[in-house]
Amino acid sequence: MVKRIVAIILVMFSVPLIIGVGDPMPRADFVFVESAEYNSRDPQRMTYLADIRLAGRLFETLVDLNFDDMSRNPAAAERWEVSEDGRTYTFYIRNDAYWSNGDPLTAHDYIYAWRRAIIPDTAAGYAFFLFAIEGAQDFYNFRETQLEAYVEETKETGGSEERATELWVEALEKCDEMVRMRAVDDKTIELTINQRTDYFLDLVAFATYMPVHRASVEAGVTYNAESGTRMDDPTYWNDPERLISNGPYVLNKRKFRQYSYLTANPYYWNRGALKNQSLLARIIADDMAMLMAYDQGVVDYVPLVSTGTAHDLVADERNDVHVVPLAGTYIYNFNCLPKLKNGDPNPLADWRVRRALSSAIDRRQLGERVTRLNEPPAYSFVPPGSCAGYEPPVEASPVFDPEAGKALLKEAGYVDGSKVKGLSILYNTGSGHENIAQAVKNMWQEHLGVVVTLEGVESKISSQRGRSQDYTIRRAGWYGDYADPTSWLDIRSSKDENNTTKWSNLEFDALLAKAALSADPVKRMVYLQDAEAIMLKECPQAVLFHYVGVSLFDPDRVKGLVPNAWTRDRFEQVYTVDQGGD
Amino acid sequence: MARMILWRLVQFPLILGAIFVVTLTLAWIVPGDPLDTDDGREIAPEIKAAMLKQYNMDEGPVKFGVSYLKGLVFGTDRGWPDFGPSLAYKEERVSDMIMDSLPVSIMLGSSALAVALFIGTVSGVIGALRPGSALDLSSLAVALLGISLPNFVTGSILLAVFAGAWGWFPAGGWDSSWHMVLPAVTLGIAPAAYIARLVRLGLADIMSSDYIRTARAKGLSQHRALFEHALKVAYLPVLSFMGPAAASVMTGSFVIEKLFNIPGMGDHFVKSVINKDQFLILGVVLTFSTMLVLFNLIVDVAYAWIDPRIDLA
Repeated sequence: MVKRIVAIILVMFSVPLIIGVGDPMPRADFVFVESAEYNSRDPQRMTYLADIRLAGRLFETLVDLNFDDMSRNPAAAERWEVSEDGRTYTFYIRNDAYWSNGDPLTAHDYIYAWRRAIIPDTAAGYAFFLFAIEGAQDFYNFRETQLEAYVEETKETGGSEERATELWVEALEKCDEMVRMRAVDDKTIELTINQRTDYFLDLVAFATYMPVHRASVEAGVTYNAESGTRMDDPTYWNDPERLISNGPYVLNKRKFRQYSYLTANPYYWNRGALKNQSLLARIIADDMAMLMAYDQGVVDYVPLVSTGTAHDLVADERNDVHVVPLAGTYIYNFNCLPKLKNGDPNPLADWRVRRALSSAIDRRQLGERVTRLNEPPAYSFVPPGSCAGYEPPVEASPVFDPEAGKALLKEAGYVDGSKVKGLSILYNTGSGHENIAQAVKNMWQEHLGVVVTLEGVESKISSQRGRSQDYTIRRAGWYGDYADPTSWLDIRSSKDENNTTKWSNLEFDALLAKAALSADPVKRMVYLQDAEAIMLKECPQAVLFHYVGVSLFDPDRVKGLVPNAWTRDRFEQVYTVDQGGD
Repeated sequence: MARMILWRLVQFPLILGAIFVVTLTLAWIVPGDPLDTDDGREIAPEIKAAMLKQYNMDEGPVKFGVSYLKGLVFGTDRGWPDFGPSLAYKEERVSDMIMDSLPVSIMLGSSALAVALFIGTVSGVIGALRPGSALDLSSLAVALLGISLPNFVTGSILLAVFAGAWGWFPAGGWDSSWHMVLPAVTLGIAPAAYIARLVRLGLADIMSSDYIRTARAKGLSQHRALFEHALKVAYLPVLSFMGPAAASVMTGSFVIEKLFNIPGMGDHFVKSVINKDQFLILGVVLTFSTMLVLFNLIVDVAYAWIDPRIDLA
């Protein structure tokens, strides 16, 4: 009997030996941490910042936006021309630009990728970046109607893949006809945008405008008989064997939730400028595990330490802890609809109440005592210094002034704060949001007498309730996608789907429209300032502070790394120097 | 015994079917939107509609469930069984995600169980041989600690001491067998303590029973009575504990995986629900259920093997 028990124990011990741990992780010139697995490597579909950063390493846009100094530099395009009216762009792709399999990079690759982004079939989150191109939005709508008609038409007869393919051929013709973008020849792209847009090149430098390798994407295309849609194979994007890229690196190897290993692209035109030959992104979700891996020297760089652990590191004043201001703002959105979800009248519909609440937040305290990262207090939505040529109108913003707040409440008909009822702060749990909410709650109670409740929920639930205005006050944050004030201000225009506050101010909308049509860049900024001033006065949101980023690397060992406000590090420039010893 | 196994196998699809229906219903009514991104930007409604259509999620749970089952039972051109795509990681197939992480969890889990069986059995036997001795008391104390301390505490302590302060082991990751030691010990401590108690109590009980007293009176040594007669009976509760323990330990532990940065199944259980990733929720729940049923079957067979007198029919 004992023998049999021993046998069972032995069998248990042998299972791990049979399975084995698999291949060890590859070694790389530079190792950094990602706190989560990449969501997508498909440049047209991606929406997460981490994915967009990765895409910049794998794919190359026509124009490169250098986030260190915000300069626009030639990349896959060696030069470009802009027409007199600022609407027509001609890009000339360099002759030595190749795909990682040796195929030459052509204008058709870009047009193919852009068309991918502007069909509903792809469901590209940033499709609206391409709607700057004349006819793109119309074509999107055309395709949508076409697909709807197809579904209607085939409801009884049943669709077929042939019919869906025919539909696509039709759409292709329509696209050439409607959308003002074309490959003049293999190396030249010409496109026309709706109106002069000074930051259009920044959009061109964004992931959605990256090229894809036509032949390999096309190989996975199928047509859905039921919906009529054209689909490509999503697994192409995470398969190192198949994925072909044109940027400085190629995806060499990857393991889900473990690592992505990138090696220098042998066909990259500027490979001589690469300061390293390989990058390894290690995925480590836990803060403590992340710091231990850094301390043990397993990783060279922790790009973003989470708020929970960051302040201890900052307090230590180590020379490997780097703090940079980020181009993002921490906000409390106010529901601006006249009635709440439950039918009660909404006190926040009156801008004076919103402004009073905003005046009673001691922003400096939040950075000094609560988050302890000394984030700069926010008096504007657009972080100062994030957009060249734009000074946010901070004087329009409420500052910490409880008396002014009380006076505003009186004006709005509340003799004292306790009469303002039914408010609650909705926040997603984690990352220290509860501490901030608690602090703000206390400030409102102390300075205004307004009593609010706190509601911590999962982030998915918070966003769902935000979208359906099922809240009174909701924590949110906003980072710019590109270095122009519109990347922030647009989300408060009446029609924008990100405007979950439902604040609507026609004057604000009109100023944004005026700025969009303005040919004079200086005047345009003035319109935008005026628009932001209106927003800051009426407070559809309380702006609390501008984010800071805390990162870890040893400046004596890791060279060429400059953390910037947009968290877009240029890893091509990074190398490590051995210091001897270990 | 063959009839028992056959009968269990017949029940199997029925059990899974019921679990499928319940899980799908729950996964459908969980609040939240699987297509939301965490970074706060809203997806345009028409794009969201296009996505829902792609995943057959545009017309409620029945259409979704039927298309899902079709892929699961008959497979698709992507192979069999096809658990569909992940909604949170749209370029991954759930089948691949499970195939990647399940071996990791099985490996970690079986090492943890081996650790647990070894430590548990040895300290249980020692305790029963010399009740009240210093060894027995200390193993009892360790057992008590092992059961009461949550494993993130044990894990953190082990990490801080053996990886942090002394640097004997790597701090996390899944690169070599060396990486496995600390998490396996952490995961194994609680079941080890449980097994030690089961063995010790069982042995103590049986050693004072009539038939052992008779055997001893006839001159059988304490050791022989214990190892040859008592242990096999005392071990049966351990075996029945092993079935569910194996299933739960081998399908991953979220806490341990996070702490030691191990790419196992535990993360999927938690994240799939947080992300409302219906495909992944169904995938991991069905995998877990299959393993649970399977391990219970194995345990029952092992029962009969250890003690042929047990009739399972």
